[in-house]
Amino acid sequence: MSATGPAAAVRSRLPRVDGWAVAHVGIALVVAVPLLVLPASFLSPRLDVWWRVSGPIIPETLATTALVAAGVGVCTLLVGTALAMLVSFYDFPGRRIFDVALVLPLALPAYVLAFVFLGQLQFGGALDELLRGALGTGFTLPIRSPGGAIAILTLALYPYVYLLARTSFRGQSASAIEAARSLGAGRLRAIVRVALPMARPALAAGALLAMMESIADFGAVQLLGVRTFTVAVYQVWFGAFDQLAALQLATTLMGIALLVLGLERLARGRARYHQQGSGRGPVARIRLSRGKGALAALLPGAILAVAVADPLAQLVAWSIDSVEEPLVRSGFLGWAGTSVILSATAALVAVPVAAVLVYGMRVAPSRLGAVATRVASVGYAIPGSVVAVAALVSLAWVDRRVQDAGSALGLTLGLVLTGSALGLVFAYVVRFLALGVQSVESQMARLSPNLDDAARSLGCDRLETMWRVHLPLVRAGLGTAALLVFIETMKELPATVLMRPLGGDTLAVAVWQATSESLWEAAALPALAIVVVGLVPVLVLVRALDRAPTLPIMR
Amino acid sequence: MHRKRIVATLAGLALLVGVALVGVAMATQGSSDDELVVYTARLHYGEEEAFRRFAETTGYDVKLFGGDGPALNERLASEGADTDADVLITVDGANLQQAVEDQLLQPIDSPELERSIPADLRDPEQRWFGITTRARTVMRSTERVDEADALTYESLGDPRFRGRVCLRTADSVYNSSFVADLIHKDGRAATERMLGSWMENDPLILGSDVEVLDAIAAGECDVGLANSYYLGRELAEDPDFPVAPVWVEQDERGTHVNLSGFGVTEHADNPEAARELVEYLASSQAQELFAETNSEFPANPDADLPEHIADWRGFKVDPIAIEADAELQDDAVQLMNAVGWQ
Repeated sequence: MSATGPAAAVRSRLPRVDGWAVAHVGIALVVAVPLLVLPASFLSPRLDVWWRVSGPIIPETLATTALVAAGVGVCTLLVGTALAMLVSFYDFPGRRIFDVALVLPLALPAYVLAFVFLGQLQFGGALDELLRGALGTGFTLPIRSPGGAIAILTLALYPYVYLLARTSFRGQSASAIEAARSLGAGRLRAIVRVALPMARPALAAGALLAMMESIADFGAVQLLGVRTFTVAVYQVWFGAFDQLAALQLATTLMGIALLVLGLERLARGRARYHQQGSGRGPVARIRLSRGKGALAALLPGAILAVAVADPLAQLVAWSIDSVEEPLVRSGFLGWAGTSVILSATAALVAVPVAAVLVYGMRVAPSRLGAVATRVASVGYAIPGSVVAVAALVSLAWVDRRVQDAGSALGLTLGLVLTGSALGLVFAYVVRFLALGVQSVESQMARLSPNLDDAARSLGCDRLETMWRVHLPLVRAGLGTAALLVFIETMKELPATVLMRPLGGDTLAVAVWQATSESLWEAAALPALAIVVVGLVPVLVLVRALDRAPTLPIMR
Repeated sequence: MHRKRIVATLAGLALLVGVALVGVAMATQGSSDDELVVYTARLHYGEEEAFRRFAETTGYDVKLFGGDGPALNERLASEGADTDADVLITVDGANLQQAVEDQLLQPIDSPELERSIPADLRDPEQRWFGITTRARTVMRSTERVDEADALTYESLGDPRFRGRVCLRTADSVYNSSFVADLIHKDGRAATERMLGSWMENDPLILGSDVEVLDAIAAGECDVGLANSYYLGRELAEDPDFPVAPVWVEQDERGTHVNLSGFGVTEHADNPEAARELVEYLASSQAQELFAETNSEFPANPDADLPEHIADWRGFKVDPIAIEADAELQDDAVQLMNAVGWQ
């Protein structure tokens, strides 16, 4: 029953200490404070570290990181746009299958692609023999190079541009293109001169997302021996045993990531503004003649063969070979179990936290809450290795305080957070909370405020409104949130490698350990498991593609 | 009525999350008395069978935590007295020496270990013991190179092999320890001259020893430098693999050998059990298992070599100077950079 009467009247006049505001700010602080610890590394009095260790590394690392990011930006832009143009404006054999299948590379983490190609291209590998058979001995693809990293990251990340471009092209009305054609432009010219410029903000947003991912990538560049910032942080932390220098490098990397995030937000904001699909309905596809159609199918066919079919076939073949290896045989179930437990725990924590943030914004909207929600979501833009380094340093501090408090009470406590999986779960939540917030938010936004009024008028109080009206309606959003967090956690490599606890490695760590010994076969089965599980959300995404034009496509 | 039920359900959910977290924490933290935690940089070297047998006979629950040597040292150092690790196993002597310098290992008093492992393969203060040795030596194509043409490390700089040499990247600890050992024994100038002659042969730089061997087998190179056990692994799978080791420097000071070893951690919860484990790892029974699965040379001289590498015995070994080599690691990396070995 809702509160009425004089007591309630008095209460409403008092300045309210808003529970939601407290929750918002609290969550944002817990998430953001570790990241704020990083810049403090530059305040250290040990200036020599800056001059001697991190300073000299930064220019070259910066150049490599920029080269890889720019290369990935340009290449994903070209590949993603070309593919989206083909399937949106033309009709050719296999178009309907390509239309959705071109999203599939999202299920293959870049580090899996990297080790598959390393194995296939090494001397005596399947692709190496093929290439040298065709092109003569002495021919090798220099895959361990920035160019190789750009190629592999492009294959893994072009779907970002493809998806955004596709959505943008479909949202455009036919009238603009028809107007161009009536003014004498040819088909292709009309598309290039009219459709492309209209999609420009969406294309930029897609390419910037791909760049963000390429800056954050650790596994692929590490395997390829390309020293970007993520690799440098790891090497300095463990190779040179210099925590302070590693923190300084991580801070620089975080700065770059936030810069790209800012650019992406800018592009995306304009993308929304520009999209206006009205008038004469979507553009009619141009049916290509048989010869031209076959030619058109060549590009998507080739991309899918290289980015999906070949790696999957190779993983299956290696997996079959590796089943006899004792380490794989005895380890696999354990790795899978650890992965599932950690991923499920991360989802179990992240989804309720996300729900609190989003629900608070619905029932008690405020500027403060909005800012806090954005701050709490920032981990998504920060590379996993940076989140891990930040979490390790700050949680170790907490652990020491807990120990001190424990010994004051006569208890001997171990390292509660950094010594167990809790620290890692915390890093996962910081990193992937945004996925939960986005999924729940998009579902919640569909519920009209009238619903709340209706529920209230029927005698539901706030709690009941939440429980009986909102919850059933956003259940799908909560499910999606849990699924996304679960799967991203399963794929996550750098934080897992840095913070993994005792008592069992995860699938991703097993892949990493086998590949760092060049044991491609031993890495195949755990990698295959990650890919298969990763297919689930991609297929869900594909199904949702044509129902909802705007998607939480951030990975 | 409803209210209470909803609040109770929410509280239940919160409790569930809490219990799950505590469960995860408990399951992943702390070690019990019959648990032995091993930090090992040799996860894919075929030790699992040995650990399994040890666990079976003694009843200890052995937990392996893999990673590369420097990362394990760092983790051990940052965990300090709170570490769960009882035993540290690393590849390459430089990592062992680093662990000693960081005071991560404690001396083990064990006559049995002293019997099993020869004195030149262990720390004079008993803080670490060798587990296996491996030769880092010249590998040649059996199809294109005669053994007599590559008898020394200098051969890799012989102009006859111009464009036909394969090397691994300079960032491998095997290479930096090898070069550190050269600097220690020959001096910087001589080492720089020799590495310079290698670079003049315009070597193909590859990502791993395995790739070096595969490149020789595929005909891309004629000679290269690699650890012996990588070739042993290939030969175990394919006895006709067309690459053979050359035991170099036999008329000089012998072939460079590096060491993989173990020690009991300074803050081991269970030093007695840890001692039992390392004594078992040093026994000829376990050592033969390593040789069998990973083709390394057992540190224990009583252990036999498996059939596929049975004739890899009796060559002259250049004694390891671990302490000096560890100190010269940085110099070695700088020198490799200076001559253009990437």
